[in-house]
Order: sequence, then structure tokens, then C-alpha cells
Amino acid sequence: MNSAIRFLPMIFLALTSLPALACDLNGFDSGAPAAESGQTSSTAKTHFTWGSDIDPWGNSYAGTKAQHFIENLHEKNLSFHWPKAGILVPFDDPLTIGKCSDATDFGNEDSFVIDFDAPINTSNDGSKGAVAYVRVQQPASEEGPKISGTQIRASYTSDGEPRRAITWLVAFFFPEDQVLQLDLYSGESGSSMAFRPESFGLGVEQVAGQLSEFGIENVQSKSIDELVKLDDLASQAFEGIERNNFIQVTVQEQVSLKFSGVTEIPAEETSILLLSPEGTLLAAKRLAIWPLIDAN
Amino acid sequence: MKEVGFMAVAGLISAILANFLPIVPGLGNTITLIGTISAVAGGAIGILFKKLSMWTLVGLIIIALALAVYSLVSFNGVVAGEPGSDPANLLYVWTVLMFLPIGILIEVAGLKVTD
Repeated sequence: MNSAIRFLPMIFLALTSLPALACDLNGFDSGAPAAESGQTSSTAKTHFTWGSDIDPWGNSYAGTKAQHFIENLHEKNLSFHWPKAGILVPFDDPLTIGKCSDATDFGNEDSFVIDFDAPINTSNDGSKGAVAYVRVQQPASEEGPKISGTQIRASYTSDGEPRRAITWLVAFFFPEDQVLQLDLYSGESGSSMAFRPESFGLGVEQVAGQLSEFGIENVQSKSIDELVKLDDLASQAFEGIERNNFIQVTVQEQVSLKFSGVTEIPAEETSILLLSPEGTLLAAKRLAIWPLIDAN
Repeated sequence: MKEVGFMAVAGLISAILANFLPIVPGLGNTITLIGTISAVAGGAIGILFKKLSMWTLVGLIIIALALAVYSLVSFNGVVAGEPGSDPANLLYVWTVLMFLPIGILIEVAGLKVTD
């Protein structure tokens, strides 16, 4: 089982009227190993660049950041699913020329391995060969914290102006100390994030109590249906995921919440939401928790 | 009662058939849902046709089959084209036109067989 590759069945969802971000690959291929990238041959329907990379990440612990992107080089719109990189650009909200879709995930030093069979399935031009770094099971004997996290970026329009939003949640589990650390950030623009503390074995009151120490008050538990209206794509990010007891928080400076006495992390996966300052859903993404569970 | 039963059968069969349509990134669930609802609606329409004469029914079946096949071909054509919100709306239209007649056919056939 340890050697088995388990792919993250996560979905990146660009749900806004602006279908994608301009390419912003800040930090891409900033360290060894070299990034894997390629360009598909130009056809009448598609032409795009893809890339996948892992780089060292984190100051306190030896972590790894995996980044994947696709940039549309064709005049025609591009819709695709890159399952092993966890990127899906829906048919009704495709990439226009020059636009990118990307995915970023966090893990331990050896959380990701290269997979030379990671095809990109376009909606109208078949499957294109690609390579991607995919998450693998961690050896149980690893020292230090088990790390798993994800970042979501999205664009949206507010008062007629295009805006960007970003959020991340990174979990560090120290099995020997029974300590769980959650690093949270939801951007400076007033956008917010929503996640389910119980998926990490935490109570809503526990998390709310720690957040209040950072001046973040009025944290309430809500079901997903109370928080946002899910469309088709967002619903897919919630398949098999508990929908109750989510909390919505605005974290304009990253906070690190530490919880002791954590012996069990009950879920294998959960979903993270990115919401605009007005509270509308911008994006949803699955987060693998099983890399933390393996430490038990 | 059996009318409702065949409407349910039409919905179930259509939900299964919808999974064999070309993959449309991000819209699979919506298309399956629309197809299922359309087939159930088609089943409801089919109840109205159960007392038609045999030759009228044959004509109806031919028209329904032709519409379903034409819609399938058109659906595939849209998927093979450039993605976008307008083509996505077209996909929904072709999905309705594909599964509505399937629902009618299942309802009419079911009622005829059990009568």
C-alpha cells in the first residue's frame, strides 16, 4: 500500500465570469528538480503549454510545493481535464488565448513523484500526453510532521473591476506529539475561505477559540447549503464529502492554529472553498487528508 | 400506477445512457440530470399517446427515433467544436431533445406491452 500511488481526485474550479487567470507562475521551477513542461503540437482546435514542477517549500519544516499549469496558446477556447494534476477547466467556462489554469499543493519532501503517464483530456481534440508530479503515500516511519495542503486562486468581478482572490490551508500533523497545526490564509482583499474542522478531528468551538486569539470572531458552523449555492462543478468537489459543520473565515494575515491532543484524523479527504467578499462561491477544491492519517 | 413506473424506468435508463455520451469537462452531472428529467417528462407525455392507433404510433416512434438520433449527432458535433457558454447551452438543448423522445418511447412501449 505504501508504494501505491494514490492520485488526488481534486478538482480546481474556475466558477467566475472571468474564466481564468493571466499566467502568473511566480516561483515555478525555483529549485531542483527541473520542471517538466511541454507544448502540444498545434492543430486546428488546440495548442497549449503544460508544466508540472515540485520545489522546496516552507521555512520551519522541509516541505514540497507541487505546481501544475496549462496555458492556452490557441485562438480557440480550451476546455480540458488533467486528472493527475487535479485541474479541470469546464466546457462552459474555458480558457481563452493566453490564459492559464493552475493548481498548487503542499506536502512533505517526498510526497510527490513524477508520473510519465499523465494525459490531458481535451473536450474536442482527444488526449494529449503529459507528465505530472503526483502525490504518493508517505512512509509511516518518516520523522517530523506530516504535511498536506492546497492553494486556490480565482478571479472575479466586483463593481465592474476584475479582481483576484487566493486562499490556502496547510495542515501539519505531529503524530508523536499529537499536535495538529493548521495554517490558514484567505487573502487581503476581503475574500474568505470555508472548511470543515471536523474533517481534521477538531471541534468548531476549538477552532473558533483559537481564531478569536487572532481577532477573528463570530465563527459559526453552517452546512454547505447554508453557505453557498453549489453548481455542477462545485458539487463534484463535494462528492463523498460531509457537507455539515463548515466554518467561513476571513484571514487577511496567515494564522497558525495549533491543537494538542489530536489522536485521530477521521476523514480521508475534505473540500476547501474560496468565497468572494460578497460571499459568492469562487472556487472549491478537494484536499487530501490521508497523508496525515497515515501517520497514525 | 404503472404509468408512473414507466416514467421512472425511462429516467433510470436515460441516466445510464447519459453516461455513455462524450465526456464534457465539468458538465457531466448537469447533462445526466437534464437527460433524466427530460426522459421522465417524455414519459409523462407518452401517457397521452397510449390510446393512439397503431399506425399513428408507428409514425410517432419513427419521428421520436429520428429526433433522438439527430440530437445525438448534433450533441457530438457541439462537443467536437469550440467550448464556451453558448455551446454549453446548446448541449443542454440537444440533451433535452435526445432524451424527451426516449422517455416517450419507453412509456408508450411499456404501456402497450402491459395492456
